[in-house]
Order: sequence, then structure tokens, then C-alpha cells
Amino acid sequence: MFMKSRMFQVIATVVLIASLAAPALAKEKAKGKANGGEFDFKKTSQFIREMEGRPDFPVATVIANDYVYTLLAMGEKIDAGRQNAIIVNVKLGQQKNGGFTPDKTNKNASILYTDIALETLSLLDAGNAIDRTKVKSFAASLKNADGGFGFSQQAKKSSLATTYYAVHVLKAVNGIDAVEKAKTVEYVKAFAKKDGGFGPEKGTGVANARSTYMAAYVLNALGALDEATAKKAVQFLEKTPYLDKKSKERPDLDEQLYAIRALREVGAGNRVDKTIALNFMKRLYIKVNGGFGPLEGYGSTPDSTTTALRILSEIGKAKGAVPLVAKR
Amino acid sequence: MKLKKLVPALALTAAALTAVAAPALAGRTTTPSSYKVVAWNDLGMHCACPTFAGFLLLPPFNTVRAQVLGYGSNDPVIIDSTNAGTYGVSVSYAMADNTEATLQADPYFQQWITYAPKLFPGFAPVSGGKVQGLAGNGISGNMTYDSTLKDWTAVGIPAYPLVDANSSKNVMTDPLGGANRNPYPMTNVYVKNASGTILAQTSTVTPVAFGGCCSCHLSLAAANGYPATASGSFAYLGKMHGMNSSKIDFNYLDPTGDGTSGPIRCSWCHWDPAMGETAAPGLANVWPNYVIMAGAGFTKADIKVSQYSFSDVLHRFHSQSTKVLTQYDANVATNCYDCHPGNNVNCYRGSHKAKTALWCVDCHGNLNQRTAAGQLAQPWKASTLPSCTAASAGANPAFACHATNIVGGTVYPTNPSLFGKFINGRGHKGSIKCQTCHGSAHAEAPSTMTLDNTQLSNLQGSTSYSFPAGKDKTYALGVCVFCHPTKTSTWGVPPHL
Repeated sequence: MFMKSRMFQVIATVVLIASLAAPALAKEKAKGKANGGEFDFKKTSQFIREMEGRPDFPVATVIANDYVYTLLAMGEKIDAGRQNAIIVNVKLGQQKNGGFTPDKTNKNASILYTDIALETLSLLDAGNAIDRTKVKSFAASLKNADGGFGFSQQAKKSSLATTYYAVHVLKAVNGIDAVEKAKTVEYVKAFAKKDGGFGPEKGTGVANARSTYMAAYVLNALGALDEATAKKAVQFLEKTPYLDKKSKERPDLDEQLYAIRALREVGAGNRVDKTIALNFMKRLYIKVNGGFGPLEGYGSTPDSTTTALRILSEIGKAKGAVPLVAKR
Repeated sequence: MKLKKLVPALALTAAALTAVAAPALAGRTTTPSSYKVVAWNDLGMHCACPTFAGFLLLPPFNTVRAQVLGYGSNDPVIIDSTNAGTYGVSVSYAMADNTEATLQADPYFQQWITYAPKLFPGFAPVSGGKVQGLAGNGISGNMTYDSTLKDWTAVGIPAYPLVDANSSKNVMTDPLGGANRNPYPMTNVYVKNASGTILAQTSTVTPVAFGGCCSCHLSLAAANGYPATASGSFAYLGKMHGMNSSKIDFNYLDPTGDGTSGPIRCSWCHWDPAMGETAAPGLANVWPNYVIMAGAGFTKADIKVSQYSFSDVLHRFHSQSTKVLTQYDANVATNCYDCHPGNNVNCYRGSHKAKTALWCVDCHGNLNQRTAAGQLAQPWKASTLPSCTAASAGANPAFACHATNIVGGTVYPTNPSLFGKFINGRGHKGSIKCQTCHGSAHAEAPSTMTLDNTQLSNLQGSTSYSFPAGKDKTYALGVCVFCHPTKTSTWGVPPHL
């Protein structure tokens, strides 16, 4: 009787401990395989943090963005001192006209670096550290008669990409009212291609995922993305190597990211092929240093590593970092 | 136990010292008792294009340099063209990995063989069945003494990335989708006597790689309705060129008048010192009977020699083009590997890379800085290149350069001419090239790439040599006895002046 009772007590205790420990163990296991175990984020972190050793850290607008996004996407914290250094550096890049420059030694502000600077500040929850009204007036000043926006006050010609960046910036600073909706929609729609996607140039030429995402974003932001356009965009994306396993086209890191974003933008996020994306990231991963290359067989750079982390975040293989404005 | 080990070691060292010191102790000999040779590639990396049918950026053109020392007296004799004749020695080279057969069978190199005569009228890329470079040097031959630069040189040898039988060497990705290639072929350098006996020899890396241009330009062509091929890319580049102020779409240029367009060489109009030119020759001087094909939007009056160097237009355009920045790389001003060999070649691989987060732009400046400082108007000039002691004008280095005149704690008189530019600089009594001891620019010893370190490891590989903590045989040549028979066999920092 005693023996039975004693055994029962032991078994019950073991079961109780096991049941209490199970969720914690499962969580721990999941944490260890946060990215499925394919990538050593510790090494990736070391790779990105190499730039901390530079006396001029964070060096430049793009590099600061790489550093902030990548570390946050891997679930790491950025210490207060470095956060402050980055915020100060980004602020120094804002010019009198409200736009931002590629680095503090350059005085030519453009919409591209303004967009990147805004995302960096937003990721650090420091969006109010700069004069947002001036940002709006800078972006608005780039508006052209054709409905598009230019790159800078020196390079005024409109393009799909610069129009996208301008709308993106204006949305981030609550300035979308500065856009002449009908003209901009017409301007962007002129970049549509026969295959359903959008290309970087009007007229001949082929569509790509980047331009398709940019066009879809602008149309969405202006409330002008119709069902037919969205459907055609998906039809185009289905033929890219990011959805079509049989595609013979060489995949490209940036295009992979924009293919995912384009699908989400046109309301087809469920069509994202996470397996294709993950396998591609595995092929770009450089085990030696934990970085990612821009193309298969290429060495890793901070820029390409950041883009890879954006993709891994999109497919749930990294924590991700959500800016307080729309994603870049 | 320790003593037991020490005695043979001391005996060996004494014997070695006696052996190496004997000739010197016997006094300076008329003829050196032996020779030593150290070789290097001049730049640490050369680019060559995979295709040549449309236009030429850079041809197969690599330069190997060497210094030869006559060993025996305490102060070695530097072998130049004069005393080489006296001593009856010659200096020669032979590429180890590029062979006549593999080069002439390589489909990319075959394009060079086909189009080089149009790109360089009068030049025969194959002569007597043998491949030769633009300066007339083939895959093997004699080196000539450069009395200005004080070294033996083989200029413009036709080194080319190869598909190596040892696949582990094929690290370079072919941007056109072909097989991976070996961008680090080796070249052997020999010192021989009159009867051809090898008196000394060494091997150096002869780096040559494809750039990254195709990585963006194929998709750029496709985005604009052209085939995503090298020829489609050339065609669209021609169109873009026609949209700039020159109006010249080079698809409409028929240099030879044979009814077909191209190929053209950019440096016909854009001065390119990397091609050894001091001025652009101008198309009419190269091909007097060139034809502008039907449909062109320009005339012969528009064909002018540009005031801008090739380096200038290429770098400035890419750093300022809003299309490049918004569609390809917002950080192109500092991402040198977008164009320079970073396709797993990693041409910047020397000790600078190993020690710090120092990047190309710290020494050269980023493209915006280089443009602003006017560097690109005078590319490849000593006045715009960085040195050990100062970054290029306009650069804003994050790291301190080497001190001007303090080496190993010893203060030397300031004399920039002696410790000046690295690539063709000389130190150590003004006679030893910087690269003789330190290796090639961009691959300075100790390099992060093992192959670069092979030569120094062999030269400083004697078991009688010793190295202080933290140093080893891959470090810059610093064992005094290597050159001076009566001096120490412990590695140190030699006087730089």
C-alpha cells in the first residue's frame, strides 16, 4: 500500500513538473530556433556591429539605417549612447529646406535619403526629433506638373521611384494632402506594363517587383488601387522567380523583398511563397561572417544583410522591426 | 629537458648563421653568391571584362613587378639591368595557371582575341600561335628593368580569370551566369644564369576578376526593353549615352567601316591613364575612316575628345544618377563592390581589412567626396592617391593614418619623398620598394587571403627565423638576415628611410 502510494506520489510529481516545465521548454526551444536554426544571428549581429568600431559611427544615413533595422529585427537592443549618436547624426543631415542628405558632409538633400532618415528615427521612436513640417514642405516642393515628384531640388525630373519616396514621406508626416491625387495616380498608372506589373520606365521595357510595389503603394496611399490593377499585379508576380518555382530568371535580393511587399500591398499577402524566400535567403547567407550577399555567390554587405533581415521579418523568420511610419 | 632541446637548436642556429654569414665575413664579393627575388602585382587587383563585342572597359592587362637582390655581402646588391649583364643573370616570368591552351579555348578570352584588333588597331592578341598582352608580353617571357621605378617588370601580361581544375579556387561568381572562376592565378618569377639555371625563384598572385557591372546592367537593360544579355546591356548603354549632352549613341558607330557597329573603346574619347594613356587619342585618329550608321542622331561634328577622364564620367555618373540611387543602390557612393570585384573575390583583402572596420572610402574618399575634391579629374596620379601617411584629398578618414616619420618608435627626419606613395614608393635607404616587403596594395601583408601570404611565408619560412609574439612569417618582410647575412634572424621593423 505504502509502496503503491509512494510510487503514485513520485509519478504524480514527475507529471506535474513535466506539465509545468513543458511550455517553458517549448518556448526555450522555439527561441533557440527563432529563425528555424538556418542562420546564426549571433554572427549576423557581430557582422553588423563591426561598424561600431568606427570612430565616425554611424557613418552615413543608409548605414545608420542598416544598423538600426537589422539589430532590432533580430530582437536586439541598441544601447542609449548609440541611439543618441544615431539620432544626432541623422538630425545633422537635415538641411534648411527640410530634406536629408546621404551623410553630414553632403549638403544636397533628396527625397531618397529623407525617407531613409525618417524610417531610422521612427524605428528609434524619435520621429519628433526633427522638424516634420519642414519635411513636408521639402517633399511637396518636389512636385512636378506631370503629377510625379523629383529626386531633389537639383534633380527635378519625375520618376516612379522618386514619386513613391515622396508619397511615402508625405504619408509619414501626415502630409498626403500635398499630393494632387488625380494627377499623381495618372502619372503612376503610366508605368503599367502589358504583363500586369509596373516598370521603372514608361513605354517599352519590362515590369519588376520593385516598381510594382512602388506603384501599388502610391495607388493604395491615394485610395486608387482598383481590383483589376491588383489582380494584374498578382498575375505578373506569379511569373517571377519569387512565386514561380520553375522560373529560370536569376533571383535578386531586392526584388525578392519587393515581390513580398507588392503582394501584401495588393492584398495578396497569402500568396507569398515563404519557402522560396527562405531557400533563397539560405543561398545568400555567408556562414563565415553571418552576413548576406546581394546575389548568389557574392560577399556580404551591411546593405544586403539588412534587406535579407527585412525579408526574413516578412516571412516570420525574424522578429522584425516596425517603424512608426510606413515601412520603407 | 629544456636544455636538451635547446642545445641542438642553438647548434643549428649557429651553423645556419655561420653558413649565411660566411660570404659576408669574407668581404663584399664581386659576384653575388646567391640571389633572392620578391615579386608582386602592381595594384593588388585588375579588372577584365567577360565580353568585348560591344565596348571595352578594361582588357586583360596585368603587371608583375619584382626586385632582385644579390646576396652574399652584408649590404646586398640590388640587381638592375647593368649589373645583371655583368653577373650574367636574367629575370623572367611564367604564368602558372593561365596557359596558352586554356586561354585560347576560353570563350570569353576568344572574344578578346576576336575584337582586340578593332579595339587596338595594329595589335595582334595572338602572335605566332601565342597569346600576347597589349604591351607585347605573353604568358611567359623576360622581365625588363624599369630604371625609373627601380624594379623588374612584365607590363600588361594577359592574365585572365580561369575555370580552374581545382574547383576550390573558383571563388569568383560569373555575373553572366557561367561557371565560377579563379580570380587569383599565380605567376612564377625566376632569376636565371646565362645557361638557364634557376638561381632564385618566387611566385606571386596575379589577381584579375570580372567587375560587378553586369549585376545591375543586365536587369537595367531588361527594364528598358532590351535583352538581359551582355549585348542587350551594351545596346541600352549606347542609347543612354546618346541621351547625355554628347548625343552619341555608340550603337551607331562603325569604327572600321565594315558595316557593323562597334566594338568601341571608351578611352578613345575619355582619357584613361589606367590604359597607360596621357590623353585620349580621339576616334578619328584611331580609325580615320569610321562611319556613322544610318539613323544616328549625331554627326561627325559631335565626335569629340571629352574633357572628362573615363574614371570621372564613370564614377560621377553612378554616384549622381537618381536612377542608380533610387532603383539600384542608395549607398553606391560607398559600396565600391557594386562595380569593383566583390563578387566573392573581395579584392580589398589586406591587413587593413583584418585589423579594423576600415573601408575603401577611408583612404580614397567616397564618390561624392572624390568628385567634390576633383580627384577624378586626375585619376591614378600620385596627387590623388592615398599614401601610408595620408588619405586622398577630400577623403574624411575615420581612422588615423600611419605616422609620418616614426617607425617602431624611432623618429626619422621628415621626408615625404622617401615615405611617400605606396605603390611605387621606396624606402630603406631609398632602394627597396614598399611592395617588396609589404606586398601588393589592397593585399598588404599579412593578407586575409592565404594565397597572398604564400610568398612571404616561403621567404620567411626558415626555422632559424624567429618572430615576436603576435607576428609570424606572413608579416611584411622583416627578418634582417634574409637580406643581410650578418644581421639578426629575429623579425623586426627595419628602418623605413
